[in-house]
Amino acid sequence: MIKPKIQAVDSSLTEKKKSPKDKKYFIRPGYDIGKRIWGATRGGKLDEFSVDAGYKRYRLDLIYGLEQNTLDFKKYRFDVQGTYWKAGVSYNAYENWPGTDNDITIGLCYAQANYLYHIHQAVIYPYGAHGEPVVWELNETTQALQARWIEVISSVKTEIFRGLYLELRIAGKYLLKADEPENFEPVYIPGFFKTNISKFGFGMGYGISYKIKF
Amino acid sequence: MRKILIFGLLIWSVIISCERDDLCLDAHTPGLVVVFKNQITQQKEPVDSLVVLNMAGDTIVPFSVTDSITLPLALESQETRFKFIYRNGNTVVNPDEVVFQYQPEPYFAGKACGYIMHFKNLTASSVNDGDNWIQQIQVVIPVITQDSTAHVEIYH
Repeated sequence: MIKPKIQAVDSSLTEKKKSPKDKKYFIRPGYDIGKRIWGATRGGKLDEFSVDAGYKRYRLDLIYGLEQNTLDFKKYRFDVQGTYWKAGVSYNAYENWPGTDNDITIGLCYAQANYLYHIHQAVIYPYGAHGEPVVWELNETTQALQARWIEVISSVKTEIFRGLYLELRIAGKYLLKADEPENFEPVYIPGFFKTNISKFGFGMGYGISYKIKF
Repeated sequence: MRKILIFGLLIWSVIISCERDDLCLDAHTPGLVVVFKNQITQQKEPVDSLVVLNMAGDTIVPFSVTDSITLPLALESQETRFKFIYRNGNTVVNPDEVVFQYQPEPYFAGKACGYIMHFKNLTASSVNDGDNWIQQIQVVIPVITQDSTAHVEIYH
């Protein structure tokens, strides 16, 4: 008489609650600690937030960053101030052992930064070997600038505690377009880091994130 | 396949992260190029023997027989004066003071080079001392952004 009743309760429970194996979707908000420290050592501020939404092995990645920094390139010193965002897709290539849930992803994303420079001062050398270099106060602010680039990102995310991840990320970047300010050059772009003549760049990230499955 | 992909990306990242353009090679603050011409023939003619000093008495251009010299302009001033000393053997020594006036303008010459100075609105004149060997000074290019062509012609 009692047995059928228990069975009925059991079946309704399994219908309502998914087992961890059935949760194929997740979102994972994160924060880049490495960039925060890097910014702080320069007396500036650099915050980078990320979120990736996943289904099985596929991920949608979004990154948003805010930067205010003073950079000293030895021959000139300037402030950079701006925001950037990155959006892309990635694929988890890591074969997890049963019971583990780590990521080694490879992905592609598009990125854009909006920023401006304020150039403080420059060291200018006279012609030839005559006389000492002078420190010239420029105090020039550029107009609002925009830069666009693409990134190939590889990331390793390791679960260190239930749902909490440590992430190490490396990125190869290719600059598509950067606005040219008057009498300066986009030598450093928020989110892209230092530029060079080859248009290629390299980036690293070290952050924490928390995975919410559903 | 996946391992190769990730390994390849790592190698690629290391290669492209090496910066190659941190050497400043070709940009410098240009000097003022002065050429000497004969007052009568209007042709380039070297001064017999010339030495150029700045106002502190330092030698800028040592004794030479030349029809073209390059001079440094002071950066933190709108004026630089030089003593152009004409010397014929040891008997005739005639210094003429030449004044160059201009507006310095910092110019960004690239990430590695930083800023160099350009000069605009150049004017040139010689101070009349009653015995000038310089007969006429003419500015041919009033904006100094390079030092491969003459900016000023001095007739003697």
